[in-house]
This record gives sequence, C-alpha cells and structure tokens, in this order.
Amino acid sequence: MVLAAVGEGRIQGGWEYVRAAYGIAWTGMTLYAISLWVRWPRGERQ
Amino acid sequence: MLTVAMLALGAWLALVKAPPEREMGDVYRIMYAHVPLVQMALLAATINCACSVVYLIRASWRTDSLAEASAEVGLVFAVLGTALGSIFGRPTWGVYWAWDPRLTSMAIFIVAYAGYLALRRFVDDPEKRAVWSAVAGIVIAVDVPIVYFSVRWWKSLHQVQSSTKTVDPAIYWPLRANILAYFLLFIVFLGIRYAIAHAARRRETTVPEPAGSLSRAVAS
Amino acid sequence: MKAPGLLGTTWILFRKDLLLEWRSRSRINALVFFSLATLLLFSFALGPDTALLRRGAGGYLWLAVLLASVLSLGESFRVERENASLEGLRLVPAPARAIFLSKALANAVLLLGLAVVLVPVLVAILDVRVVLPLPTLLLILVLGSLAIAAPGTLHGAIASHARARDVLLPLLLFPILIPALVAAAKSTALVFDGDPMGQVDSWLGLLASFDLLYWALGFALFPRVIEE
Repeated sequence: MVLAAVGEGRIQGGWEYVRAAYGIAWTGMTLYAISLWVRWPRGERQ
Repeated sequence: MLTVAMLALGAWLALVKAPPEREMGDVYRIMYAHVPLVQMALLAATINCACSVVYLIRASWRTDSLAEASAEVGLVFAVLGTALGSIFGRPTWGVYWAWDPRLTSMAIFIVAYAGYLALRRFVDDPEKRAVWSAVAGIVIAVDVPIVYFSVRWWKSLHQVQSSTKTVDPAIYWPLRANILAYFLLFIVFLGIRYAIAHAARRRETTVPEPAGSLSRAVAS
Repeated sequence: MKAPGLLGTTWILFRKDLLLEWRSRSRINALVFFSLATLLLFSFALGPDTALLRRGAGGYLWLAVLLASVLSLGESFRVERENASLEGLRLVPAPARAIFLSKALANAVLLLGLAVVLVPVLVAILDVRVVLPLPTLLLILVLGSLAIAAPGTLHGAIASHARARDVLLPLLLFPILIPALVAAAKSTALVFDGDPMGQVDSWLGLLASFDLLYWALGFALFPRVIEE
C-alpha cells in the first residue's frame, strides 16, 4: 500500500490495537454465525 | 462445505502473523481484515442492488430472499469493517474518525441498509415488502456512490487505494489470501441467510390450516 | 372532453394539493414555528459564541428545513391515507406518475416557502449577511427543496403504509439526502461567507445532478410503490 510520507520512525508495538481489531472482528462474526444458526429453519410446520 | 470455508479462513489468517512489519509497524495487520470486510460489504450491496432491479422486472421470492440476505450480511460486514477501520485510524491518524470520503460513505452505507432492514421488518405483507424494499434498495444503491464522490470534495485522510504496483509482494499475497477467505465466509453466511429468508417467505405465503385441524394441534 | 395528458393531470393534482395545504394554513403555520424553534434549539445547544454559530448558518438552515420536511411529508400522506383518497385517485385515470409529480412539486413548494421564511430569521438571529447575489441564494433554495421533495415523496408513500411510519420515513430518507444536504449547506454557507474561490457553481452542479437523478428515479419507481 502506498504509505503516508511519515518519518522514519515506526509506530512501535500497537499489538493491542491489532488484538482489539481482530477480537472485534471475530466476536462479531461468531455472534452473527450464532444468530444464523438460531434462525436456521428446522422442522417446517408441514 | 462450512468446514472448508472455516479452514481456509483460519489458515490464511494465520498467515497474517507471518508478513514482516512495514513502516507503520504491526498495526498494519488490521488491514488484512479491514480491507476484505469492506470489500465484501460492497459486494453485498451490489448483489442487493441487482436483486432489487431484477425483482421489479420479474418478481420472484428467490430474488427477494437474496436481497434480504445480502442486505443483512452486507450490513454485518460493513459494521465490522468500519469498526476495524476506525481502530486502525487511532494509532495511524490519531483519531478514531475523520470525515473522509470512504469512512463517511461507509457510515451512510450502514445507516441506509439498517433502514432497509427496518423497512422489511415493518411491512407485513410479503409482496408489498418485496416491492418496497426493491425500491428502497435501488435508491440506496444509487446514493452510496454519490455520497462517496461528493464527500471527496471535502478533505480526505484516507489512504490511496492500494494497487499491485505499489504493494510489496510480501504484503500482497497474504492480503489476497485473506480476501479469498473472507469471500468464502461471505458466501457461507449469504447462503445460510438466504435459506432462512426463503423459508420465511414460504411460511408466509402458505395458506394457514383451518382452526381446529389435527395437524395444527400436533405442530404447536 | 378528452382526458388530460400527463402534464395536465399533474397540474390539476398539483393545484388540488396546494389548495388542500392552503386550506389547512394552521398546519403550515405550525411548520414554520417548528422550524423557528429548531433554529433556536441549535443556537442554544451550540453555545452563545456568535462567530461559531455564524459559521454554521448554512448548515442550520438546511437542518431546520430537513427536520420540518419529515413532518410535512408524513402529514401529506397521512391525509391521503385517512381519506383513502389515494385509492380514489387511482380509480380516476390519473397515472401514478402524475400523482408523484404533483405531490413532489407541492411538497417542494412548501419547503421552498419554509426556507424563504427562514433566511431573514437566520440573518437576524445569527447576524449573517447575504454576500452572493440573491438569485443565487434563491436557486440554492429551489434546488434544495426539490432535492428533499422527490425522495421524500417516494419514501413517504412507502413509509405511510408501514408500521412505525414516523420513524421509518426519516430513517429511510436521511441517508439518501446526505449528498444534497452537503451541497445545499455548503453553498448556502458560501452565500453567507462569500465565495472567493468560485466553488458555488460546483456545489450547485452536484445539487442539480442529484435533483435530476432522484426526480427521474422517483418518476420511474413511484408507480410500483402505490400499485396494488
């Protein structure tokens, strides 16, 4: 990706952001998957 | 099928650990999830737009169900993708939010499709619901690009679109892999949600049993 | 006597809508006072710093018009529904498109009137001055009102038949109107602040394109919305 022309300094660490981000993403997707599972049509009333 | 998709997702995401840091540090890895999430949301919107148009031309419960499914799955991906984009913004731009074209368009995308789903929930007649959501879907699909271009006349903080030329191959391949993984996940979710919607359609349009019939007592 | 064509029908319906609105003048008065109240709310909520308020004047105008439009649009379809006159209209060979055009135009006229009334109030409260020529301001007000009226009429028709219609209409409408809101507010701000870089024309262009697009969309889609 084209990076902003920031100085040489790297953003140190930042792993907590990565963890937060992936945590949110995975939690969200899991919750949604559960909601799909719960709503899955089973035993149609004839 | 589900397990294949999950495996693919898991494996490729593990790859995220592998790519070396770039100038922005490890925070960059958020992109591996953010970009695919947003791309899938946009794909969902495209599907919804197509279904909306098709439904008005030739009505079919399948089309309507797919429209419903794509709107909901797209909304989920959009919310997650925008959240990730916002988290990425904090250490890189210093802010969680900025009024730049892409972020603003995504915010409107989210509100618009939430409205679409609300519309679907508040209309009880299945046929009216299908027609009106199709109309709403078309209006939204036309609007989101306009929003994007009009906000571009405002200031922009968002990064330049990545292209293969400017991406380091070490970054490029994991990104592609992740996109594929999220795509598979998207398809799985879409398929399941479609089945749910279609089943609901069938339930709604079946003539109910006469009161007092045996099967009704058995079923409840 | 042969049936009037599209434009003729539109004109007849339009006059009917305007007449109805004029007859319920009290409703229009209420709308005006509602918008004034909204402007006051903004002023109080955003603090006594006049300089700050003045910078936001363009935005406040259009926010006030937008909020009032939700009420007026809801109202305009509620009347029809209560009298089932939409069904009556359909029995008459009035094409749905004429209904759309006349309703949207009537709504636009109402909003334009509202905006025109609000401008002097804005000038008074926020101490802004109209720097650009008046015709430009008028053009902005016209284009902005048209921009709200078209999708507003389309979604108003949908929402009026759904549950939670009072919430559904703004929920559907606001995201759609964002580009128009931006363009209208920005150009109005330039009218008040002056336009050294000649940006008004591009914003007007955006607004005009939005209008064309959404009037066309409404024209095309409205018949599907009200058909049985």
